[in-house]
Amino acid sequence: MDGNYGGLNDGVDESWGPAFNTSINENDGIDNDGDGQVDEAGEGARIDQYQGKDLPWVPQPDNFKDLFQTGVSMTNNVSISASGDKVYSRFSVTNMDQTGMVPNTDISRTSVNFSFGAELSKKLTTEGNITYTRTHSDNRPGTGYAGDNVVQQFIWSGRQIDINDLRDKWQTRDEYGNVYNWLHSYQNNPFFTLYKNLKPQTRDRINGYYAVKYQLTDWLRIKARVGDDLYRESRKRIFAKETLDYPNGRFDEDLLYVNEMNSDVLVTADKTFGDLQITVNAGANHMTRRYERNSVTVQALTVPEIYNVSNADGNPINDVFTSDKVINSVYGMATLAFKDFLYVDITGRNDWSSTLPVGSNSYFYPSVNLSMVLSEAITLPDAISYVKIRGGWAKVGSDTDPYQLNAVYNANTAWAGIPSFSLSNVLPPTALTPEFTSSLEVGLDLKFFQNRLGIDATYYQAATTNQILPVDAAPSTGYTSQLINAGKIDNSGVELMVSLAPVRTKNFGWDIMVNFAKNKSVVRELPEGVDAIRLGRYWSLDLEAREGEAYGNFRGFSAKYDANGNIILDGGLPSREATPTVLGTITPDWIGGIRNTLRYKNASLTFLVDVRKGSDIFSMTYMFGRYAGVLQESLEGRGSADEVKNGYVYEGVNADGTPNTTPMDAETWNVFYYQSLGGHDRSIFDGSFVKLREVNLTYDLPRGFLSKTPFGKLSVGAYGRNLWLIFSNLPHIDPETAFGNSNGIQGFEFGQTPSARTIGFTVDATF
Amino acid sequence: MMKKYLYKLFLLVLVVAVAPACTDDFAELNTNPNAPTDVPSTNILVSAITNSISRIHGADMNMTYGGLWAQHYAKIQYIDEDYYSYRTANMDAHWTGLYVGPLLDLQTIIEKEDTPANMKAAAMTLKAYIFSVITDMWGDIPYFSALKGGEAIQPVYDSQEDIYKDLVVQLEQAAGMFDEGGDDLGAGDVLYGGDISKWIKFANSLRMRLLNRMSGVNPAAKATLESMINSGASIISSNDDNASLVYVGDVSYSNPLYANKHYSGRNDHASSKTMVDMLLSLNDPRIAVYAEPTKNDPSVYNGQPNGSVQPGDFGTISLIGEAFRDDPEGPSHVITYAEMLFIKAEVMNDKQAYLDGIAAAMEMYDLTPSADYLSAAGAAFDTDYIQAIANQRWIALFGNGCEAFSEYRRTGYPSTIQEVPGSVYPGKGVPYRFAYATTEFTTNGSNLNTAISSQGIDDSGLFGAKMWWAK
Repeated sequence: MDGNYGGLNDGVDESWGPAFNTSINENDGIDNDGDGQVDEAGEGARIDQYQGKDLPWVPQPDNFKDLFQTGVSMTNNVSISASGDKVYSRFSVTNMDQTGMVPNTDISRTSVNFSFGAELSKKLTTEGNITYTRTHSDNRPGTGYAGDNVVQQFIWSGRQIDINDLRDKWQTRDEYGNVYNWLHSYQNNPFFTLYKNLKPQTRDRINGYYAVKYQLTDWLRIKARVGDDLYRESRKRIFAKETLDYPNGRFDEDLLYVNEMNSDVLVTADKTFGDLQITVNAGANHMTRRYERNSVTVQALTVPEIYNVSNADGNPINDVFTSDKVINSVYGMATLAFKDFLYVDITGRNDWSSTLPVGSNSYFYPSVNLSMVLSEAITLPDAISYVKIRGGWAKVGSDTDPYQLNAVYNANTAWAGIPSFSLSNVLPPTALTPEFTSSLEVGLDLKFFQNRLGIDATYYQAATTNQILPVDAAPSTGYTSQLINAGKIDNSGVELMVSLAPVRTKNFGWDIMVNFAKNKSVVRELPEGVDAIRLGRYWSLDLEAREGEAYGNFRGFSAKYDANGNIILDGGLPSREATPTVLGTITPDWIGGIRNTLRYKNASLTFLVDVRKGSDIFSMTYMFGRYAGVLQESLEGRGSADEVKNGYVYEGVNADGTPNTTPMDAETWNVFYYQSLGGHDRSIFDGSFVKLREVNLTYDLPRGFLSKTPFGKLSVGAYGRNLWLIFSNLPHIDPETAFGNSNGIQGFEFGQTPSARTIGFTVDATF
Repeated sequence: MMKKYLYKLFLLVLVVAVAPACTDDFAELNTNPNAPTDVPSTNILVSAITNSISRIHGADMNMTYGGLWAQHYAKIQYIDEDYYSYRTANMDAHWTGLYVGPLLDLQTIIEKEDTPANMKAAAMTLKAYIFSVITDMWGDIPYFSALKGGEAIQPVYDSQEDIYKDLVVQLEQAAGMFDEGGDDLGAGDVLYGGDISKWIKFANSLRMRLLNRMSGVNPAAKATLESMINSGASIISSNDDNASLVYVGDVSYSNPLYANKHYSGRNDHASSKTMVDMLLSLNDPRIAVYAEPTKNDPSVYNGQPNGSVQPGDFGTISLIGEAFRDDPEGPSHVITYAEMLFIKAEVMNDKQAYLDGIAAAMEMYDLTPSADYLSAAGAAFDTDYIQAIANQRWIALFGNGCEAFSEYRRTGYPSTIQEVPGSVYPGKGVPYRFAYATTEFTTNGSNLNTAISSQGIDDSGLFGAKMWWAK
């Protein structure tokens, strides 16, 4: 392998071939390679490689680990408060600086907050708050199935690659004039990617509000409030010249501007009639949201390393999009409290949204909540300190994004100056109505033995109807998706929290907190002509909501198995079911956690163990890792020279039920199973885990000790997060690393930066 | 001071309290200012022409599937598709990329009330072309109820036979609808620059291609074909009439095989040994156009055998010729004069048309067949004219892999195209078809499953019943 398509495995980012260190035998006491010495490890198998000719064929067990460095994150916060008789103000600055675990990546965040209030007269008060936050990174690491995610090339990889050699020489060139690397197709030198193909981003955000309150009478007041949240963000993705995917260089730049403004007036009446206290609110809200995006893509550079539009070779592609949205609302709330034991809350709100069709753009949604503190009303045994029952019903309405109602033509890049347009791929809705979620919730809150045992239980049921969703359309309709009101989806579940304080003395305390939650979702109805809503898709595996099934099932292709669970082979290779079937679900059976807090005098120690049962994950790291032969599991059938040469009889049965006898080489088997077959079943894993999530140790310096210092309070602490994956069924990766939490990408995993074990120290001082 | 605040406060109260009632401007507010709801047809036409032709002749559909399985090209890296191991995502992209985009755009032009006759006829011609490619690749497909949006959200699959019968009718109507003195197609006609007479030739030529393809299973088609030839229908009659898309050559619109190599940096394909050996055995001068000599020995042409392991040394293999891989403007030929001559030769058993076809095909590369070449070709014709024509057509179609794949499946020639040694479906032969898009499983499952079972398609997705026209 010389990086120029000679040698072994060259031009391929896979890891097949002879075993490492297989000298003809390094331990046979013979000079196999004839260099006058008895062979040392690897000497018997010397192979042309990218670093040079005739080099030992040896593994690099730490080639992945050595890519990373220790990331450092530092957070500092200072705040100053000042208050007088009629005014107060508070000013704080927080700064966070982080250098990444992936080399040459960082992020920093600085936020400045100022809040104030003043009593202008007995009846008139005013208050405000403004926060400025700047988030900046010179380079963010790439993610997902993309060449700029450097983790990708440890899945598509050769295990002989020496990452430290690539780090040392990425700025040099090989004898062919190429950027020094282990191959010249598919993967860039990871350090070239990290130091040349930068992804800087900056966001400046200002949010705050200003409010005036006027007390009309002792029971009636009016409040006016204007709030605004606006940010400007720039993001750039750079590909230097000589990047394999973009040999001529490329960059994309997005500028975003978002401004959401809310104006409210609220009239509040507050009156007590004997044991009954009534609060009534009536208000109105006007919301405007402005969105602007200005994107430019430069597809090739004239001069290297200048990432300015003026340096474009050919026409840059511009995409400008602006949108406006308005929601007007009126709302009312009433709270009734009787004798500190019975509480009733009633709300109602009507929204008018500009995004829905005229005629169905007005929607009303109410709620009712009731709670009773029984322990206040009736006398209970001493052991029972507190009993509260609660119940509620709520409905929430929602709209959609702007401009969804009409089909438009999208501009393509002009063909030789001739404007080119295509009709949008999204079939607009014929009659869109607001979506609603209504939910019913009952709960019980119990405390025993002077609050040393607490139980808080909740049961809920929620139904989402007419959810506004873009769902896939059959491409043969001419469209890839249609925006619809999508049927009915039910959710129900329980949440349980138990707190226990087994020991509570002056010097020593022990608190235990247990959490448990379980949710079940069912897709009740979908509209006519829609079999399923596709939530996400990678490599032909769909994440779906299908009528009668749970929300978020994986549907894909499985290899064929007989009744006894044996894989059915055809000519020594697996065969596949013709149609996709359900292969897993992303919803966990339940999640839970136990937090223990031990306190001794001024020191306290907390540790949290989290548990998740269920929640399947489609590991594309595993799928491509098997294809590329980089994973330990791919060693089945590569165990001996004989197996490599003559093949290996994989376990399975023929169509007639007889055991398989056809030998197959491991590369063919793995490439076929994990790519050609298009089977997903063996790359979907149970994502259950038990984790030591957090350990926290803090120590408050004794007040007596501090009395001679300027500190009012001083505490020091150490913490560790994500410390130990105690149990997992998922090979090679952290079950909690998946693409993200939005519905469409939950449950999919590929090439995540490994989750970090964080260890930190805190100093908290008050003057 | 207090009064001033109060005044402002109540002004705000008034504005906010009254505002909810103000929804009058909502329709205007929710009108997209970024994109038009109507554009001139010519600006849609340019998109339909360029997006469909560049896809059908592209690095995926042509170089990695149709043309690969027709053994014009062979893979030298990531051999998967050459082992008939297709990527389902690619099949999805081919299917979606033709229905959504080009076909919908053409349907929009056809359905617009004010579309003039020539524009409508041009859209009908292109639509028939694209549908013919889809059915040739997949067999039964949604046709009559396709492209209807919400009116048929799950379009049924129609039989290839019914589709073919309608396509030739549509093309006949389109040819008749064109009026040389009629409306101008505008700047968007990047295929013929507004020459309506050439559009008529294109529509008729395409109709002849389809009639010829169905002639083996539909005697009426053969009769129509003969009468078209005998009556001298206006068809492509020189290379100037070819339906060929010449690319702009810029970073957005370059020849797709050029862009694959130069903008995407991919070099996964070489010349197929099947093609190189055929050209060498015929002493065909097109070898120097279709293939590169090997890097290690510039006097040698050596094709890569399809579906074999990656070559140990790329320097020993002939890559695809510069005219196809290194010319940013290099044209994609949809249908050519040579094809017309080969159809005539086949239908009428006309040796002269066959020899003229060879010359026309070579003329596209500024070559002329030598006397020796023609006499050897003539001898081959005399031995087995069907095979001789099929072999020459296959050579002439280099660069138009999907059409070559269809003609191979119809005729079974060249006979040197055989199942590849590394086939993942050993013993089944060369694939009969493309696999259906998996997106259709989720969105149109029951119709798709009916189509799969009625065509007897097996689990691989590639085998089962042959194309209707190949039976």
